[in-house]
Amino acid sequence: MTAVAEQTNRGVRGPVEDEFDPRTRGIGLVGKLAVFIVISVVAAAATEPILLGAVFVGLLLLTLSTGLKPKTVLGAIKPIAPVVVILFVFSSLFYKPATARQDFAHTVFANLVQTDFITLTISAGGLLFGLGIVIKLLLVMIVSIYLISTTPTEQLLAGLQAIKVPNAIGLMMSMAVRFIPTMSSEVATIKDAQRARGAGSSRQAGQRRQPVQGTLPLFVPMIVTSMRRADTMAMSMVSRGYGFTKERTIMARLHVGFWDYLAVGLGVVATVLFFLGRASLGFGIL
Amino acid sequence: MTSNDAQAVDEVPQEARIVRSTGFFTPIRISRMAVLIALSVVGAFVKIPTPIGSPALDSVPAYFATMMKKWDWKEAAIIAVLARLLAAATEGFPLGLPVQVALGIGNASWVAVVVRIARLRFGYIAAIVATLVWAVVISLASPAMLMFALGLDFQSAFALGLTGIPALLIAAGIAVVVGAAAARAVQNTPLSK
Repeated sequence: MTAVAEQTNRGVRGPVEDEFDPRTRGIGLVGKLAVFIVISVVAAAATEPILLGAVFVGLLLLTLSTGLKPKTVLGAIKPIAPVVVILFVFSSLFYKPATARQDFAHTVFANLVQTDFITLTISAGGLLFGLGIVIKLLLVMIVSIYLISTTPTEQLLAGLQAIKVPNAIGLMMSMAVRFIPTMSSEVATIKDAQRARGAGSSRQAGQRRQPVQGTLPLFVPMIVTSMRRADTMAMSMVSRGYGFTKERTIMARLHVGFWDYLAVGLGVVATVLFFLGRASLGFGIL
Repeated sequence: MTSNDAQAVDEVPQEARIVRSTGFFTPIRISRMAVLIALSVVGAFVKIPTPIGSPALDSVPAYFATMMKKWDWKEAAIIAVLARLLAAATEGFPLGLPVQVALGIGNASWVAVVVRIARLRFGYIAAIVATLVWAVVISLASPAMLMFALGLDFQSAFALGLTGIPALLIAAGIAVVVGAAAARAVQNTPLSK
């Protein structure tokens, strides 16, 4: 491979630039992926709310230490509040206290329904199980936010390239992210144009009155405009020579540093210890 | 090509050769998929207020793509998966990334295969019916995902799946109708090529 091709494949940045880039310090994509896998596995396998609560606090501290604002995390949780409540109620009521491993979970406060097919009870075990399920849900949500929101897009694309995902998929994703604000402003423009021509605000999509009727006049022009935009974009891609070389160059390299190795190592140890403790002592099981 | 030209090409190093991409990912496909994915994310912010929640319209572009006769079915599938993931990322991954990936793949397979076959063989009404059937199927299949990802027991996962059916039916019904209307508007214009 020629020096120029090697330089292009390596990207424009060298190891010195990487060392001083603040985004490559701390845990990188590989470490975050390890954290994501470990927490997803623990969330799926554990049922005890104390263990899940401890993992939740640790994850929250880790997420907030990356500079992510608590408002962002709360903002993500708020819309699913009804789901959280439904999940808590269903999982608490359907829980069978007799199956609990710990004695205090066997306490039954009230038998609501008791038939051959269905048993609904309010029990200490049920309430703890419901709490555990809610913490699990929050765990998988926050770890997903941690993985995606705290990783720069270029690093994610480098990760996708490393696992041999076609370059076009990464390119599409980055182009889509780039166009979200443009599309949002276009939606506002179309709404303004319709309002200026006498369309009542009550017929706008997402409004309380007649919300469904408003979607058709909003989306059809949006899609037509999008097609025009795609046409122009394809022409500019061709004029810039897209698809004329075999390999695609990428600015960011997948950086694996000390913190990544530490995260992977700790993740493996924690997972092994968790499953050993679960199998021998019933650790993490309600 | 003369023998001299062929010899000249052989002398060029392998990495320096220019090879035009002729695969599935052509510039027009990439750009229209990217734009439609972005539109899906914008659609995720347009909520339909209902008594049982506010379903969003993030799947409209995927339905639009599947209704377009001249487009490849894979385009609709890719739009459905990536749009679901990006829309979920903007909402903070409700139910977590693994469930969203599973939902995206399931949705993409149904939209790009079943709804498309219904549209091509029997028309728009059949496609709308196929979509509504899917909304019920995914609601009944979601307990398996919830049991796997959250360790829920069968009864509570099933009950949760049942409660999701009305909101999913409303969202899917509106999305497929809007997608079909947009496809009818664009179908016979140069924009559909």
